[in-house]
Amino acid sequence: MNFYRSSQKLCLYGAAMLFLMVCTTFFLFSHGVYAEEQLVYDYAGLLKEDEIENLESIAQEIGSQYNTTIYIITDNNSKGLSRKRYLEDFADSKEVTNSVIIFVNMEPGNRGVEIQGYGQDEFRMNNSRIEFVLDEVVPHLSNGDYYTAFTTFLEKTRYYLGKDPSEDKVIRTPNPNYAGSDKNYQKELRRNNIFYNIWFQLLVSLGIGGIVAGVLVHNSGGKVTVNDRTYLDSQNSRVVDHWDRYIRTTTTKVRNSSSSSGSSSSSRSGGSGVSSGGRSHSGGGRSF
Amino acid sequence: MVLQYKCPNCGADMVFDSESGMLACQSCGRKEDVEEYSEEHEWFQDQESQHTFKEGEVNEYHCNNCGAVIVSDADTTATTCSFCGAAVVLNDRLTGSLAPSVIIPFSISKEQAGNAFKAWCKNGLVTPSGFMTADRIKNITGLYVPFWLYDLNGKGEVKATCTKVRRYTRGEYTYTDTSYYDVYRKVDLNFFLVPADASSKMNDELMDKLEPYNYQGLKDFNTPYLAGYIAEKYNYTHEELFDRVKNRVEKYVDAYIRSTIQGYSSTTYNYKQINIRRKRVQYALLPVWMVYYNYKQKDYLFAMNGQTGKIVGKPPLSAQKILAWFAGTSVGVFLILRIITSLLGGGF
Ligand SMILES: [Zn+2]
Ligand SMILES: [Zn+2]
Repeated sequence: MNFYRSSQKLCLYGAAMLFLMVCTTFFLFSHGVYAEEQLVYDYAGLLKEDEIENLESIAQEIGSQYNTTIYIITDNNSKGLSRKRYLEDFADSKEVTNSVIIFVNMEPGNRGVEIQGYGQDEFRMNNSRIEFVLDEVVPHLSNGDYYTAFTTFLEKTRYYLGKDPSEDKVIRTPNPNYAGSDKNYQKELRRNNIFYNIWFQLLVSLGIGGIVAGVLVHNSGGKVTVNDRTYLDSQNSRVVDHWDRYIRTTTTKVRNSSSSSGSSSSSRSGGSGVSSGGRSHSGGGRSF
Repeated sequence: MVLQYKCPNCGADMVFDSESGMLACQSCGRKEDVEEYSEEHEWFQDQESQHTFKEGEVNEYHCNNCGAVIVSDADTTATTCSFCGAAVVLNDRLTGSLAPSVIIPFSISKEQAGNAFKAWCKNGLVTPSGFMTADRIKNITGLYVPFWLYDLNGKGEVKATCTKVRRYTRGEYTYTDTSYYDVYRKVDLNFFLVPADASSKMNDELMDKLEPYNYQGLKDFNTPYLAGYIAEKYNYTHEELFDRVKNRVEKYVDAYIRSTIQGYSSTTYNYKQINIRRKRVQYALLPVWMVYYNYKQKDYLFAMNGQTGKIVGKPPLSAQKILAWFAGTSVGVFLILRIITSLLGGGF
């Protein structure tokens, strides 16, 4: 499994890198030499040129104000990856430290939006805050008003980066339908599920084969067919005395998941996780 | 004292017939009811009258038909004359404290036993296919094995702490309620006719697997039942075997108590007391067909419940067949898993 996955990943890496290189050169040629890093990748072509420039400059401004890098990505095709994986691979390719990234996937039948926070922004833009941002952004995306969606995203991001997350009064839990909102994510979940692992399945098969053969060998000599009731004189047997007395109840409570400040490594619910490059991040997403 | 059963018609030897449950003459076919068969028909030679059998003693018995010495060891109570084949019962080994009180007569004949055994071998899922192609049954012996049947009373008392666990989510917290209960059970159980193999020659494990016998077929002991079969007397007294039975029944009482404690997530015993008391012990003879079978220069021993036909014993194993089962099942399960996985669209 790991073997398969890593080889597949290598290919994806290669493809993604090549793609990015081609795009970058294309951009450099068409826009002249940019001193600053590109922040908006509109592969899906949802934005006009002046809109891109506008978004770039707002993102640049917020980024330098809060020591982070904000990326906006759109694509028509996530190449079989979930939005989550797509973003993780992007973050790895950019070797981000602090970063907030929004990704709009326009893939037919699997349209969705995902936001992730890396480094310090795993906390400044935690799962709860991402849910709030998504609340504001998704309606614009549904209306096809992509530019407004992204400016809303940037303004909400600016707002949250300037606020201490521990002072948030209302904490949102991760979207319970998170997995259901992305077809590719469900596939990835299954692929990562041990029951789908080919070696695990092989082991289980061999185990069952061994058990069947073992039981046959064991039972070849005849088996015990009497049980604890065989010799019981049930008419003259009874429970003489019995009671079930309630004594007390103790209650313990456990926090469900990381809806609050630190999407600590123990809680990987919703869209938070770790990229294959080892980058821990917060996250959330919806289909629209 | 040697008992032999002579046909009132023709004087030939009679043996117990498993099909009719009666004494049957092998030459003229006359049948006699075992219960009503009175002593006057028994033709016996009073060798040593009033002789009482002493433990470990090997007497010399002579066949009333041909006068040959009857070959028997100290435990034999019934056998056949090795010269003329007459069924003989060594009556003095079946009297006094050695007198069985009940018996389950054979209900499966020698022929049926042989056929059932062949059928069983052919169906053997892990036995070599050549195992039953030729008739390799060396010997089938009908044997009455001595058993003690215990009627027991088992009293059990248990105190336990049990818990019920309830989980629910309120807001962002998951609550776990653990309710504790003080649980008490006192049972008074009766068990009847728990068997214990009293012969030192028989393998206990093999005999345990032959169970259960159907006690509907239990009859008061009568010597004619033994005619034509081998019978043995007990080597262990019921006192000597009581611990074995006690251990067994203690588990039954324990299981019974456990079955009355239900609806809890966990049960921890704080106190447990189980007392097994003997109410009645009966000396019984239970029917077993012993089948000696030769396969590839090795002897195999099988036992068949002479009443129900259940077969136990270690058959030869075919490595090929075991491997085939192992491989077949593994491949089958693996393919099914692969198909399910690919249908769900997850795996590679
Ligand atoms: Zn006759
Ligand atoms: Zn003789």
